[in-house]
Amino acid sequence: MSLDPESVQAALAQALNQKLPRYFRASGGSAHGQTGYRDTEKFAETLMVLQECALLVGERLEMNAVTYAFMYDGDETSGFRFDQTTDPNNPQVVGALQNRRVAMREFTTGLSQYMEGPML
Amino acid sequence: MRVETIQSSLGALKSSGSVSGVILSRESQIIYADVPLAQDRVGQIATVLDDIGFYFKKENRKVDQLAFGYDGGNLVIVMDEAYRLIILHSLIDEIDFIAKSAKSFLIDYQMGLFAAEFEKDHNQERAIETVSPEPRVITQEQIRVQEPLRPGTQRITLRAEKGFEITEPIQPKPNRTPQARPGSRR
Repeated sequence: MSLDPESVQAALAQALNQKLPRYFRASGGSAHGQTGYRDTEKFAETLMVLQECALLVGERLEMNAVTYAFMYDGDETSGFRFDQTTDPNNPQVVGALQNRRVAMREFTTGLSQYMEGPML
Repeated sequence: MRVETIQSSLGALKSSGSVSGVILSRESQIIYADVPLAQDRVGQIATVLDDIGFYFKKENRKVDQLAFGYDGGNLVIVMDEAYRLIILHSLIDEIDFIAKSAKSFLIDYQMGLFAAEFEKDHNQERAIETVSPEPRVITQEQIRVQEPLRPGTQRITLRAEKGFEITEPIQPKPNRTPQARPGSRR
């Protein structure tokens, strides 16, 4: 489903101005969001970096199944978590980018609420 | 900072909430570790985190806190320049509390290092002051007034105790007259 470019820009501008989280869903090498191609690309890059870091550290701890990864990068909070309600053979990841530092607990709650919402 | 101080602070952090392990490292060097893991594993984690820190620095990203969740537990990593504090815990709800404590510790730790360095420098300065000789006093004996000498003048040395003293008369140099060199023809 392609979104109207104007509404995409408006959604991105509103999220950035109000410092709200921009949510994304990813699975099987593709990511989807509502704030445009560039923003989704940024999320995909963050997702890959975080997943790689989590796996590298987890390997040393003998904990290989990553359930979530969050980070503070300057004034930005970003992260993802696996959606436990999705098919284990084709798991989906829900993530977000937010242009302010929020408590990671609050960030997780936001992701959980997004997960429980309608699939996009 | 003394080991006991680190032990006491991180020991308090380790015994709080669901925390099960703490690692403090500087680059890939372990400063303190209290985790239920083998020593080589701890070293590997520090090395991996150093690589991660290097990657973010290279990418010009200012990542100072990471939180990872696994099926067997959670991890909070707080980074401040070359220092990293890694905390293993089991309850996801405790991320923010643990991260806040870890950040406070890292700030205190670095302040402690700064204070120790400052004190060391200050003590060194004091030691130098103590061992340095008495300030040199230049006596009048050492002062000599020397002026360019001309034929017919006299060298005068100023001596405080002895007063003016004529040390040597300067003889005017005789005029040079061409002399015959040995073997030269007249």
